[in-house]
Amino acid sequence: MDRTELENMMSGLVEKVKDDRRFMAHVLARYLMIEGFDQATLEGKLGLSADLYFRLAMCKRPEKDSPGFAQAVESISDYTMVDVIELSHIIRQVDSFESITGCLAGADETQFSGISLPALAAARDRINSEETENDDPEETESRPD
Amino acid sequence: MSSKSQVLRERTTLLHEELLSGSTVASAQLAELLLVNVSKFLKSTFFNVKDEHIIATSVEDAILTYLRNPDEFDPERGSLLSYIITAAKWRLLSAISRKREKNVELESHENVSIYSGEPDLPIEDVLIAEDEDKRTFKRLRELLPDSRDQAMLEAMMDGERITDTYAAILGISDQPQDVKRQEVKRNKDRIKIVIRRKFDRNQNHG
Repeated sequence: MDRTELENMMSGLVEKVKDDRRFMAHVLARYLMIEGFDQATLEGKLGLSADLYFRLAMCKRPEKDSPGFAQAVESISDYTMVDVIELSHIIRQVDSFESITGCLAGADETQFSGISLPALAAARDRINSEETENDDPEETESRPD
Repeated sequence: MSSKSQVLRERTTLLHEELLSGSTVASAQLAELLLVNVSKFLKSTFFNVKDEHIIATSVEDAILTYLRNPDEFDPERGSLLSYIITAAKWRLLSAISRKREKNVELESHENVSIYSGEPDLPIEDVLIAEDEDKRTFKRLRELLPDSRDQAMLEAMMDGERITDTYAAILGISDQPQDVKRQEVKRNKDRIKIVIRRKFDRNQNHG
């Protein structure tokens, strides 16, 4: 198997798991969307070859609430030679993005591409506070005398 | 089993255990290892398949199915490499059958005798020894020149027992089940006789 063929198959695998949130391919795809990067730009930013990008993408995603989160990120960092702080930042950013966009129910996530996380967080907080304000009178009305 | 194949088997077994125990990097290590070795095996086995995309897709899908549900693999029943290769082969055969039904001409493959001669040979050994099996491929090509017969033989050597698989190869999937069963049996018997006769003839003349 020549190099190009192997890289094509690696890309094929990564493409197929990018919708599976259990894999880092999903995190990377989200990160590219958030930042408005393409893969080549991210590879350059992280100092990754195509092989190492494949390795990174095929790793399992560390769970943010897991007690082993830091150790899991370190393992991936060691294996892919990505800076551990940079890697942790990417995962946290995607986790935050998903947490925020998850609150904006029914929204198409791609429309948030390029919008900063603080702006998204502000939008989420505003929606939440409006919902709370709207809920209060109904609760009062429905409360028995 | 050679030392190389033993190393490969032990490595995949270890990574499988790590994957099950929650390692975040084992999936990537396995993906890399399996991609190279399973592709290598399928490309040599199905070396006459012109459409490399269906080979690549079969390998990718077999690996992903495993990585998504690694606990479905039972190490007691064989090696991981063998498990993935079998899954990839079935996907490929199924894809070939679908293409054949669309009248797309595909030449078949010939090195099925690897299994006929040594059914218990570990896949790891087959992988490592594959370069030495070219003569066997050539002999089977001479014995069974018809690509449909070769695909039938491949399925037989793989121990396929599902009539519909053979029916798809023969292009009779739309026939009633009893007709399919009869036709499949008739073709299997015919292939066995052809091989036996031609093989005996070659031996006598050789």
